[in-house]
Amino acid sequence: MQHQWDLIVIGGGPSGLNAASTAAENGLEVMLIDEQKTPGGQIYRKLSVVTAENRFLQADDRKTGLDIINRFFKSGAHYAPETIIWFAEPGRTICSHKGKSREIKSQYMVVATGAMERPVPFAGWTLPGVMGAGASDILYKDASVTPPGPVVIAGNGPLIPLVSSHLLSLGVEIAAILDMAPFTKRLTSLGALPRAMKDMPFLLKGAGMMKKLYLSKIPIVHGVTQIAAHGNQKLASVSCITPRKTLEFEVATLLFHHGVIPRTHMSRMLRLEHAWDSQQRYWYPKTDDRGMSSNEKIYVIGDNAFVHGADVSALKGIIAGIEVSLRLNMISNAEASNQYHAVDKNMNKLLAPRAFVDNWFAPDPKLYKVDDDVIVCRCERVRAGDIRMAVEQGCHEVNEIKIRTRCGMGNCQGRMCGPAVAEIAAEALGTEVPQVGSLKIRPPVRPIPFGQICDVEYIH
Amino acid sequence: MKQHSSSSVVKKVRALFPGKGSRARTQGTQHFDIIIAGGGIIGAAVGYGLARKGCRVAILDAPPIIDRASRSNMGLIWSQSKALGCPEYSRLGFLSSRLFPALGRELLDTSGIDIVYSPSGGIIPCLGEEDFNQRSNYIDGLMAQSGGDYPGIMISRGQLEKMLPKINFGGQVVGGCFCEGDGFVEPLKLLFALRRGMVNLGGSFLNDSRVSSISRDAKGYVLKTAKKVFSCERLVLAGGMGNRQLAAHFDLKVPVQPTRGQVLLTERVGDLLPIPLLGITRTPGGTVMVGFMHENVGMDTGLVPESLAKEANWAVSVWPGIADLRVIRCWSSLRVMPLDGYPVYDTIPGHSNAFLINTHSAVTLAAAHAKTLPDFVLGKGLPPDQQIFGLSRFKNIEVKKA
Amino acid sequence: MKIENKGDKRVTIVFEGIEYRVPEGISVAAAILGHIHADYTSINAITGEQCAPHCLMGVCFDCLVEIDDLPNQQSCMISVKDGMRIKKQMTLVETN
Repeated sequence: MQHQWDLIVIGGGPSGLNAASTAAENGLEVMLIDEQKTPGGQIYRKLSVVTAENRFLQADDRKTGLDIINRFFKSGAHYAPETIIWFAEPGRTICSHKGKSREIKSQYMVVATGAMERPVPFAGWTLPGVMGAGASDILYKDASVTPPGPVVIAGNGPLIPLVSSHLLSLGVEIAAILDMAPFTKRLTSLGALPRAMKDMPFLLKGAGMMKKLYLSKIPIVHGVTQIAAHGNQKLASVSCITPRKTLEFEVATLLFHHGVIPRTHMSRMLRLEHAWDSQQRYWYPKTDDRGMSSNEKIYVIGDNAFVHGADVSALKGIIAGIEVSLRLNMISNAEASNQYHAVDKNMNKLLAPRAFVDNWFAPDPKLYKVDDDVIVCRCERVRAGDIRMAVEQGCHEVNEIKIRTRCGMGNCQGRMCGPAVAEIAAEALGTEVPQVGSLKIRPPVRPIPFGQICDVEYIH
Repeated sequence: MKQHSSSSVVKKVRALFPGKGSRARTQGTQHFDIIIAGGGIIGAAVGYGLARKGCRVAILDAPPIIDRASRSNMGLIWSQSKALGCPEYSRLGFLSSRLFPALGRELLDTSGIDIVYSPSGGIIPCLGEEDFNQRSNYIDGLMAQSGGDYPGIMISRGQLEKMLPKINFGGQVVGGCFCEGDGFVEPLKLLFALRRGMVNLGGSFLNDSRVSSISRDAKGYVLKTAKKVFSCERLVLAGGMGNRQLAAHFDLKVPVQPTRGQVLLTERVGDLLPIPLLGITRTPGGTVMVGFMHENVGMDTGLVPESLAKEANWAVSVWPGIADLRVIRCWSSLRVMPLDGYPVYDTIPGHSNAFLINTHSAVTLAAAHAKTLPDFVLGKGLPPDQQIFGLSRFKNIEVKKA
Repeated sequence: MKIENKGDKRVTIVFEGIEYRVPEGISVAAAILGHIHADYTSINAITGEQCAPHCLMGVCFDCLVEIDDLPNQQSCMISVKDGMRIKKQMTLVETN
């Protein structure tokens, strides 16, 4: 086993895989650490195992994914699946695999932990039967399992039309699609449409999905401002409010989605600098246009750096791989230029529709203006009212609120409540989210058995 | 979280001392009788005690950029097995312990917050005969020093197992020492209760208020923060490690240094540890905290897995069952340590109305502080046991610059 | 939940004492939701309310179960194995 790797790549999605492949092909000793069993991340989950059965992706998407995965397997990069990193600092990580923790050192790191669904609290969201829309895709990709119908899909984000059309084609009964997008955002995003048309295939794909849904006779309710899940220990119905009416649907599953946000626990643990995007309303690690973070030996790429989708992520991976190879003097400037050439051209085309998409699905800040009795911290059952009371009692920063209310102290380490506690606190203080700070993230970023901490295998 | 309505005690105190008012020295200056720079557990205890006496008191608290010291506190009210050679300190600790039940009731009344104080006693486990003998000799010394008044004894393994029947102790545990004068509390609740109680009793708590300058005038002191000016007759420096910066305004070097503690926190367990073990504490919320290190690393709040492993290994040798619990959080923070380990209670040289307070174990001492330090700040002096802890004892010690 | 592919290789797992044959290589959460059809997988440690998998990608920690006597395992991150014994995570911790 290596004493020190040239590069550790954290995450097995398209960006991480490409970074590892590019660097390994350029001669670096690369280790890719993946918490999953097979490469592909979320979007290409299990693609290398399940072939024709994966009906989600169109043939060319499926080919893209398989090409990325196969390239990785051939590249010479070392693959460490089912491995959880719980400690990381620049230059080294400690990870756990099959009950044993060991230290892994490297000169450079690429962080590619991807995105997660934006967690937005609402009444009843902790009931069994309520899931993120992405969860439905994951269940199908992992196990060919579909959620029990009737299903309601609610929210505002790219997965709404995507997951809806998947379930439609699988014959799942969809009781309604509840569109929670603010109408004004839809109007203003039309301005970005001309530029978006540089990537017509992408736009046509989206339009095609929408057309299928409109023709399907599934009730689509626009202008929904609030939803609530009801049931006794289990989801039984979903109610929604629009400016004109209140509706209720009997359901077995509620899939909700408000876009995706970068997963920042790893980049926070590495003490990288982050910035706040006020349109997308998420924190993201600051990087230059090649992916270098505020630490010159750590690159952050893919949806982990900024949510741009799988195709852009894949290219960012290649760029980071080229960068690290160059900086370790494994390739010359001329070779690097060559490798960049194809990537940069593609990148411009793929980035063209982002302004439109980002605006179309931009979240409404009023999303977080939830009633006092709505649970915000699922793990510790802390409610919005508790957070507002802590603010009133002088806690003006989220870590103060955390120690006052226990919000963020549970198993998920603030992943599900972090955005909401900041938005609610900022709103209560009449200020912007960056002013209230962000939850301090310290190792272990995943719960780890006490005994494993005793017993870490260190490199000497 | 429950919120109690204004209690009868609060109403009575408010009736006796109506209003805060504001006697401006210059336009825009906020005046208080007493200002406390620093709203950690010491500042909050002193502020609470002064508000209880009806004083016009304010705490100016800087934003917590470095986690406050109470964050790495285990919540132990712990006076056992310390201070051989300083009976005054030993007595002070046990006094504070005896005052905690009343403080807890009072804080529930004035703040609505339950500090969850428990007079559980405390146990220090001993691993191996040599450890046991060393500890036993130390306890004998404390017993002699106190004239037979020390509330603790050595216990055998059998006795230990009877006291904590739900714990399967590791093979090396031969026994321990038990002290009935110790207990535990929820340190963050204590902090918030003292602050809230102070405010409910008429005091002021100003957060986001880092003191940037201190100057003297005819009537007392003028303090500036980024946006405001304050004046007072009496000033208390209770900023923990921050006292080094505050005391620089008086050209005074403060004899304290930071000591880093790293803490491991596990998932919740049932009521297995009704009596805390030094280094392994089950909090009232059910999680288990492990930590006992003191590292001199300056102001570095990083976490070092190798150090965590040392603490974890020790814990596993005491209680092997802990190995199966999952660690859900670790953190490190800096505690305050006066250079000789003992408190600093003094006026600033040349300033009979400006006070410097720094201690380690401020959670243990909180009840004593709330009781005795207000009178000290009001110029009425200290009880005999606390009088020996002045600055003059540090004359010969090298003190690091702020 | 509907099951799409019936031709997969299967393994035997035990859930709450009952044996089930489920496809090899799927997550424990998918097995519980799609083949065993349990209403919930755990209770919240503080309130006792029933919880079930929510995000399916390791972020929410609402899918915790006891696997082969080890508590608090994220069922969405672990694949089924032949002979695996799974129980709902029922710890309700008394807090003072």
